[in-house]
Amino acid sequence: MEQVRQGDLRKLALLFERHHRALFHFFLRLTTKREASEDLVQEVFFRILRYRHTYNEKHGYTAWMYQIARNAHLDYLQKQRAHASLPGSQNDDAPEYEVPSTALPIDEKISRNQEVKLLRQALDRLPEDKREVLVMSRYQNLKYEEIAAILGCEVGTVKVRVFRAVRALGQIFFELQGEKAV
Amino acid sequence: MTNESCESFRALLPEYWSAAISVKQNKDVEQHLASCPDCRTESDYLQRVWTTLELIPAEAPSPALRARFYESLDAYRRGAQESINEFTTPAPSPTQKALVWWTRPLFQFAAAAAMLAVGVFVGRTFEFRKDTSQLGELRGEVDHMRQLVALSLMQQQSATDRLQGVNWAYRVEKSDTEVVSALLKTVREDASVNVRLAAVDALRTFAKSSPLVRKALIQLLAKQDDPMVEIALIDLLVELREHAALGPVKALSQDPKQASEVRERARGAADELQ
Repeated sequence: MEQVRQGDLRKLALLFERHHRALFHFFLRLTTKREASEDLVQEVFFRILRYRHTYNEKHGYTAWMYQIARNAHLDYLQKQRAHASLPGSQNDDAPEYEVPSTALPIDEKISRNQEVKLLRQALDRLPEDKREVLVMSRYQNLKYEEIAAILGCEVGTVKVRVFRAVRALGQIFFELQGEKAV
Repeated sequence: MTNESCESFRALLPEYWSAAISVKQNKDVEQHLASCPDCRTESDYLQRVWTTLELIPAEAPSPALRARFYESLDAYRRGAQESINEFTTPAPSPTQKALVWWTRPLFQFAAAAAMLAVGVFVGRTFEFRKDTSQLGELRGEVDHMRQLVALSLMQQQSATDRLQGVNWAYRVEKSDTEVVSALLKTVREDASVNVRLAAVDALRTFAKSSPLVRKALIQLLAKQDDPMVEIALIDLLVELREHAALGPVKALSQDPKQASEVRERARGAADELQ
């Protein structure tokens, strides 16, 4: 990245090759839309090019790139909201859930494939902030220190947020399984 | 019943499930879970959710993403030069602009394809007795036309035209060996890294159904000298789960002459292929 900052644009292509798939997966899991995710990846590299002079090595390239990715995603969400009046607000702080003990054991009749399908739906229904921290920790191979740098908070806070995100996901997943069983 | 101590243990659970926790903390969590049924119940349930998350498949981006990125990068590079040129050279007249289009190979091919399409349309409109064998022939001709366009464009001087040629390769039959050979040759020899990368992407669909193409990709890996193309080939072989690539990938990971990024990616790929 240091070389990109100094004007070696060929190195940007190397960064693209190394990170575009991970970024695409990141956006796809946040937006669930392929085309929008590809646009966002393109946007991230455009912003890297445009704002390369702002890069500093304090938190490393990955954290910096995800900060840009996060901002691009926030802008995307704002545009989406401006275009469509969304019913209700899914992004308000959701109440913290307690997993009912009756949730266990998970119904063995549901096959693994169905479970994966339901969990994917549950992930889509998770509030934006929880989905984001969960995706970063579960899929993007980011360390808690890096996530803390991206979100601008303490490592301890990240740990709590990741756990709460899994707990909220577990609750939604449980509810979906109930709907399916009815 | 949960208390503050339970909450602090629960914050450690994702790391505990991923075995990414220190030995001491691991012991502490296990002791707590053994003594707290509520936490144990919740941990068991959520661990299942956590593990299942890994099974949600990751989709690959379309090849267009890469092409768009390199087009933008080229445009960005050219931008500075063109802004200088604007002040030093007069703008071309409308006639000159039209002539430039006529001399572009892509335009010429597009015009030929359009004429063929018009021919098919006229033929079908005026042929009252539809003959399925004739339609089959026409389809064959269109396929042949696509193959010609792809092959011819891939031999052009301009990298942009060759890139377009690679994109045409997506439209030909999966079993078209001539186009596959041209794509492999492009990956091996093309002067432009962008064109080589696009060809790697285009080979993906052919490689899925042909062990021979996968074998050729492994051979290409050893002959590459550009880190980006090497990484793209490694990514593709991993995506195809081509275990025969394990040896060459391992060799790359240990080759001191390779760029550090390539060695790093090859190390990761070797783990994934095992």
